[in-house]
Amino acid sequence: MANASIISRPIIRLFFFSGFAAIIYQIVWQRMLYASFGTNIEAITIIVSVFMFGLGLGSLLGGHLSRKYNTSLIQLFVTIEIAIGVFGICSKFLISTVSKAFLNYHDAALPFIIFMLLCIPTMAMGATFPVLVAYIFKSNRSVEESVSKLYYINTMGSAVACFLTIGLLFVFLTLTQVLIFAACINFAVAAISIVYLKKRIG
Amino acid sequence: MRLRLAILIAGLTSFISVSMEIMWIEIISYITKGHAGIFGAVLGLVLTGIALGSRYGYRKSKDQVSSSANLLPELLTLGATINFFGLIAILLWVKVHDAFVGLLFIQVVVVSYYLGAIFPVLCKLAVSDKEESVGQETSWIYAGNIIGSTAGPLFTGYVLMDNLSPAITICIMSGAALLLALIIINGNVDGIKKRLKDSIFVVTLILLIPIGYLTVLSTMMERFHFLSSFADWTSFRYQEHSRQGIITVLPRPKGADVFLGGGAYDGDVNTDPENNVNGITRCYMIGSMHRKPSKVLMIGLSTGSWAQVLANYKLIDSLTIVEIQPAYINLIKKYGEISPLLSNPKVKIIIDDGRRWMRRNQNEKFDFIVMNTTFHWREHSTNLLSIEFLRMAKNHLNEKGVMYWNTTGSKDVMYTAANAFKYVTSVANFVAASDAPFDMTKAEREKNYPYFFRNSVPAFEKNDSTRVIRNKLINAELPVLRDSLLKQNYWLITEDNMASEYKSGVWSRIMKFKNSF
Repeated sequence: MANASIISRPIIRLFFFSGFAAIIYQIVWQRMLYASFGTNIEAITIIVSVFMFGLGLGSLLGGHLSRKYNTSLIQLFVTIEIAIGVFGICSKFLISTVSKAFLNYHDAALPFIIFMLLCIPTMAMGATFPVLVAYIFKSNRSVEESVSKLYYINTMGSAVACFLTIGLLFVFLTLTQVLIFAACINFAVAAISIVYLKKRIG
Repeated sequence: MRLRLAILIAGLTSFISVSMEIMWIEIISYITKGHAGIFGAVLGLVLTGIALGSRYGYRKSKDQVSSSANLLPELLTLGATINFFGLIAILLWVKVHDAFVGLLFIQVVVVSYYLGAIFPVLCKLAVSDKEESVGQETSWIYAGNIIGSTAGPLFTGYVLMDNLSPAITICIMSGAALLLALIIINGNVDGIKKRLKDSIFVVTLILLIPIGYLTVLSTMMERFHFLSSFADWTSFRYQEHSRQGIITVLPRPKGADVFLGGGAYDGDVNTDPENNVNGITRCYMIGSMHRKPSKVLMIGLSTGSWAQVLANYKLIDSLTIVEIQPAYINLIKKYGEISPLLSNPKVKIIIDDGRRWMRRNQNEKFDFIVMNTTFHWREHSTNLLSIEFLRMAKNHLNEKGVMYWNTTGSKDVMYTAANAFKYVTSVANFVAASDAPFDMTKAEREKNYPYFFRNSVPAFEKNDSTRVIRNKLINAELPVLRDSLLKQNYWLITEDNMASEYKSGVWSRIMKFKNSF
C-alpha cells in the first residue's frame, strides 16, 4: 500500500497546480466580466453561479467519465488540463467578442451567453476531481484518503493562488499575461502527467 | 450513511459556508474601506481553512472509525460557535485595542477549517469502496456541495442582504449550522445519553444567539468602524444595507453628516460654499469651465450634494444621474437640503452601473460629465479611471464638452486623462479634460455665477463671504497641464494593468526603497 501511495504521489502534487490555475482564471474572468456587465451584484452572482454550476456539472461528468474510461484516467486528466489551458488563452478574446456582439440584445442575453461560454472550462475543471479520485483509489483502495488528499492539495493550490494573484501577479503582470501564466501551468501539468505515465508504463 | 443524506448535508453545509464567505467579504471590505484585493484575500483565507479542514476531517474520521457519524455535529457545532461567539469575542476585544480586528482573518480560516472538514467525513460515511463507483459517488457529494455553494450566494446576496443587516444574517447562518448539527445528533449519534447531552448543549448555544445579538452584535458595524474608540454614544445616524453594499452615515452635531460607502468616505451632506467641508466649491467651478452645460451626466450620486448644486444651476436643462447603489436615495430623502433633488423635473436618476449604461446608450451626448469618483486604490476603481473608460465617456461628449472627475490625489489618473484628451487642467484634486481649450474669459465666467441657486435664492448673493468665494471661482487659474503630464513617468491606467488598484502604490514603494540606497 505504501508503494502504491508513493507511485501516485506525483499526480497528487500536480493537482495542486491544477487548483492553482483554476482560481487564477476565476479571479481574472471575474474582473473581465465586471467590465462587461458592470460591478453589480447581478454580475457577481452570475460569475459565482457559473463557476459553481460548471464545477458541479463537471464533477458529475467527471464521475461518469471515470467509470467509462477507468483504464485511461491519466490520459483523460491530461486532455482536460490541455482543454482548460487552451480555453484560458483564448478566454480574453472570447469574452470581449461575445460581450461586444450581444451588448444591444435583451438584458438577459449577454449573461446567458457568458454563462454558457464559461460553462465549458468550469465543467472541465470540475471533471478533474472525480477522475483523479478514481485514479488514486486504484493505488490506495481508500475513498476518504483519495478524496481528502486530492481535495486538500487542490484547495491549497487555489488558496495559494489567491494570495499570489493579488499580491504578485496583479502587481507585476497584466490580466492578459496572468491568463497566459495560468494556461502555461495547465500545459505544464499535462506535460508532467504524460512523462509520469510513460515512466509508469515503461 | 445513505448517499442522499450525505448529498443533502454537503449542500446545506456549503450553503452556510459560502453565505458566510459573502458576509466576511462584506465586513472585511468595510473595515479595509474596499481596498483592492480584499476579495482575493478573503477567498484565499476561506480556501486555506477548507484545505486544512479537509485533512483534519480525514484524520479524525480515520482515528474514530467506529463513530465517524458523531464527527459531523461536532464539526458543525465548532464551526458555528467560532463563527458567532468568536465574532462576539473579537467585537469586545477591538474595544481594548484596534489590533484585535486582525483576529477576524484568523476566525475566517478557523470557521472554514471546521466546515471544510465535513466533506471528507461525508465521503467516508457515504461512498462505497467499489472501484467502479468511487468516482461517481464522490462526484454526487461534490455536486451537492456545489449546489449549496451556488444557492448560498443567490439566497444570501439577493434576499438576505437586501432585507437584513449583516449581523442578523450572521445570526441566521450560525443558527442554521447549529440546527443542522441538532438534527444530525438526533438522527445519527449513538446512545440516548450522549444524544440528550449533545442536544441540550446545542440548544443552549442556539438560545444564546439572540442574547449575543442584542448585547453585542447589533452594534457590529459601529464597533468595527470605531474600534477602540467605540462607546455607547458612538453610533451611526443611519445604516443602509443592500446587496450593493453597506452605507453608513456619521452624525456631525455642528456640521454636515458624512456618508461612508462600504466604509470609505463618500462625502458630506452639504451644498453651502461657505461651509465647504466637502470641497463643494469644486462643484461650483463648473461655472468657470463650460459656457453653457445644458445637458449634464453625473456618474455616482452618493450624498446627492453635488447633484443638488448642479440641479439648481439654471444653465443646466437636464441632469442625468447614474448610480449603482439604490440605498443612497433612501438616505437622501432624510436630508431636507438635498431631498428636493429627487422631485426636480430636470433630474433623472437611473439605477445602473455607469459604464454599462454608457455602453447601452451610445447615442446620448452631454456637454458635461462629472464623476466624484471614489479612492483610486479601491477595488474596481479601474472601471471608471481606465483609458478605455475615458475614451468611451469622450464619445458621449458634445463638441467642446468637458469631463470632470476626482483623481483622489493620483498622478496616474491625471496622466491617463492627458492620454485621452487634448486639454487637461486641475481644480484641487479634480481633473477636468476636454478636446477644446479651457479658455473662458473672466467676463464669461462672471455671467454664469448668478445662475447658481441655493434654497431658491442666488447662491453667491447671500453675503460678503459668498461673494468672495464667487470671485475666487471666477479668478481661479486653470493651468494647462497636458504636455507636462505626458513627459512624466506615470502609469497609464488600463483595464488590463489595473494600475490604480494594484500597481502604482506598490511600485512607488519599490521606487522609494530603491532610491533610498
